[in-house]
This record gives sequence, C-alpha cells and structure tokens, in this order.
Amino acid sequence: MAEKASESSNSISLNTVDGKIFKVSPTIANQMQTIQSLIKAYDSSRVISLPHVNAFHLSKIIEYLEGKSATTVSAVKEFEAQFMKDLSLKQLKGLLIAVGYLKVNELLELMPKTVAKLIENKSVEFLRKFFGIVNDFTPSEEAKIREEIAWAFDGVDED
Amino acid sequence: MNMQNMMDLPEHLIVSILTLLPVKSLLHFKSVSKYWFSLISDPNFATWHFENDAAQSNRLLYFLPPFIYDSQARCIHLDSSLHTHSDHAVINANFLRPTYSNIKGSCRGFLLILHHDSYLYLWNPSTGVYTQLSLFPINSSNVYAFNPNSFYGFGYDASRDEYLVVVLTSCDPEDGLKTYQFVEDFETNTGFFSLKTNEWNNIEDTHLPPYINAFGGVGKLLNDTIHWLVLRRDVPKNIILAFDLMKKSFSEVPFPAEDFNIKPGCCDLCVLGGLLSLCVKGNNVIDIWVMKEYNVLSSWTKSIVVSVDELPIKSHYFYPVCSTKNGDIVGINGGKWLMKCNAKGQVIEHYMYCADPHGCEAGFYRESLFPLAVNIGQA
Repeated sequence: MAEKASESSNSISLNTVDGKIFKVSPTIANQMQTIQSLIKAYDSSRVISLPHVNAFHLSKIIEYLEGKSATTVSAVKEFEAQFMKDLSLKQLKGLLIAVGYLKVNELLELMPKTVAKLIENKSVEFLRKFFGIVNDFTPSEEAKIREEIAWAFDGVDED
Repeated sequence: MNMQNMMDLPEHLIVSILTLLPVKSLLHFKSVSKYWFSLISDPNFATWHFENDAAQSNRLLYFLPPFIYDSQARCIHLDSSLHTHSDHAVINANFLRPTYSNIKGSCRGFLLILHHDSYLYLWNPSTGVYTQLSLFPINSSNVYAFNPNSFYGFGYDASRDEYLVVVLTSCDPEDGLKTYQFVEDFETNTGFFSLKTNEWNNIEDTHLPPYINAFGGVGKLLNDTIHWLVLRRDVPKNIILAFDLMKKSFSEVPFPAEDFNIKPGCCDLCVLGGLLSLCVKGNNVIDIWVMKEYNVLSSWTKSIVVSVDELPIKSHYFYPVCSTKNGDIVGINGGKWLMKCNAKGQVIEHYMYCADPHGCEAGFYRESLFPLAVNIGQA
C-alpha cells in the first residue's frame, strides 16, 4: 500500500481557524517547522488544526513556498518583491504573526526585512497604529523622551 | 477574521524587525511605548543590533576645518552610494570646543578623540553619548600627548565588559622630543585607561624596545587585539605590534615576508572583512594583502590590486578604512576623497567629501546603540 501511495494520499490536511481545509504536500508542510513537529507527534493522516492561522494567511504562505522555487536568483528576488508588494499593511502584520507561529524559516528572514524597510523613516504614531500599541507614556514623559533625542526626529516621513 | 482581534506580535519578531533598523530610527522609536523604550535601551538589545550583519551601518565621520564653524562633524554612510546626499548628516559635537581634534581609534560605534584641549573623549556619534578622559599621566603635558610618536589604541575586552584606551609613548623625557629619531636606546612607556576603574594603569612587567610611530596610523582592532604598524628602532625594522586587551601584553605579528619592503606614507594597516590587512603602494598599483588565518605567516595573501591610475589624486596613497556590507572596500585618497572599489580592485565610485586643501580629520565607525558605563554625558 505504501508503494502505491500517491501524492494526494501523502498530503497533509491543515484546518485553519476559519474552518478551511488545505491539503499540502509533505515538501511544503515540512518547511513549516511547527507543522513538521506536529506531523512527527501525531498520525500524519489526522487533520492538523491551526488555531492561530486563517485561510488567507495560510494560502499566502503556500503561495510563497511554491513560488520561491524559481530557477534563478534574480527570478526569486523578483517573485519575493512582488509577493511583498501585493500585501496591505494589515495583511503584512497578520502574515508575519502567522509566519512566526508556523515557523516558516525563509519568511522569518524575509518578512522582518520588509517590515523594517517599511517603518524605518515612519513616525511614532504610524508605528503605534501598525503594531497596535497603546501609548502608555504620560504626555510629559513622552515630551521628555522626545526632547532628549530631538535630533533624531529630522527627516521623518509623513505617514 | 477581524484583524483587531489578532494577537500581538511576539517579542522575538519585534526584536528581529528592530535589530534591522538604523540607530536613528531606534532612538526615535523609544517614544512608542514604555515596553519599546526599555527594549531599545536594554544593553542586550544593543549587542543583538550591533552583531546583526544585515543591519550594519558603516560610516565615515569627519571634522570640518576648525575655527570656521561651530563644533560640527559630518558623516557619510558608506554602505550605500557615496553620492546619496541624504546620508551626509551633520552631527552635533557641541561638547568639543571648536579646535583641532584627532580621531585615534574606533570600537563598537565609539570613536576615541584626542582633542587639543588636552582631554581624550570617547564618543558614540550615533547616540550622542560621550565621556571625557584625562591624558595618560606621562602625557599630561600637551607636548607629549600630541607628539607624533605617541600611539593610541582603543578596544573592548568582552570577557570583562570593559573599554580600554591604550597609549604608548616613545620619547626620551630627559632629552627633548625631537631627538628620538637619532637615539637608539630609549624606552617605550605604555599605559591603559579602563572605563571600569576610571583610571590609568601602567602596563607592568614589560620592557618594550623603542618603537617609533613612523607610519602615523591609529591602532586597528581585531580579535580583542589592537594592532599598529611601527618601526622598531633597535633592530631596525618595521613590524606589526599587537596588544592583547585581555592579557594586557604585547607581541609582534609577522609580515608577509621577512624582506617585506614598506615605507612610511605608502603603507597602512587595516581590518577588512574581519581580517588583518596591509595596503602597500607599489609601482602604479596598490596591493592589499590579507592575513587569512590570524597570526599565521603563510596565510598572508595578496587579495586585491588597485591601479593607481584609478585614484582621483594619483600622487597620493589610498588608505582603506573599512569593507562595506556588500564586501566593497572604502578608502581615503589624499585626505579628502573617498573611494570605493569592489573585491576585484575596480574603482566603483569616488566622492570628494572635503574641499579644504589640507584635508579633513576623518575616522570610520560602525553605528551602535552601546552606552558607556561611567561619566555618561549627552551631546
């Protein structure tokens, strides 16, 4: 029976938090460390539930893992650039969380670079909004910090 | 799914994003929240940031000629194009009175500055943190400190988490200052300043031969060791003198060959891509030698040859300052031109950063968030 196993019977079923089932090949699944260890721990025929990942993010991760196997270095770079460009800010943040949870190594390298480039010259207000951070400084505390590093505020992009 | 209900980014992802940012952005982002303030201020974070090669930012800092402007330094980002003017920032150096300063060392984002008000300064130009040090006691008269034959070095001993400034002076205090060139029997006095104890110490149990700072270079830091290119007067021959910051002891590092012929003004020591390197001007070419395995004589390899024809000022030598993130080499030509060449020795670009005919005092540093432990000031 094992010899006859086709790719589909080998495939791994992933159930996202919004109830969509994805069937992925072992090659794709093994590039997500969290899933790799779940497959090892359980019977691979079982459907693996992903309580922190929604269908959109999982589909993007699969799209990336399938797409980045381009033949040339420049083609991979082009694919990666387009892949990141197509994401909205909200999608970027959500995908980063999903990638962190699933431990997709290559995206764990690429995505922080993309986010760092994006926020490098942005305002503090933009960052708070982007990361969903509540400002817990009192106005006078914040003014004091800003004053101490006033010279670092030149050349900040408008959001 | 409602994005508002998504859990927050875990700390390791926030750290992996923030360690990729330039220091300026990080200082600015300290005011995002209390958590971000404490994260960015954490010394461990400073280490992760400094050690992240993907984020390294190499800069050349130079002083405009004194008495013309207020104390201002400028810096050029060396990893992007030298012509990217937005990267040519003005840096506030108000703590330095506007007079001559010499840059005598560079380590972990700090520059060692010998200022003509008779103090040494350690300064992190990226954060503005600085501290003032007294001169080495034997140097405390201005004449000795600024004697061309005083060598300086600046480094960090990771095992003790301690910054050290090292000074060697080869002058005969009895016999004036100018005669050392002709005297064979004089001693080299050495001392180090520890930022931890905040005082100068003599380096004990060393009877050093007479070393002369014939090449005028500043100490180059590699593997917890500071290196100088020096003339040993008693032999006499040129050697690479090394000071081990942990053992507090001196040694000599071999040249590529016994008969290696170098002359002052045509040779300099540098650290390129984490390797000790020698840059030597020959006939129409500049050879860059690298010691692929530290302290192994046979590992010296001539790695790059730059044609003198490609230099903006052909009559002057080219001093390499650093290698960039992409592996290019940046150097100074004639005290006012920066040039960048690739690993094949081809000149990619050059840029005149200083219009003064005498050139500008300049030094290289790699940006860091590191604080200093004692006497912290803010520019």
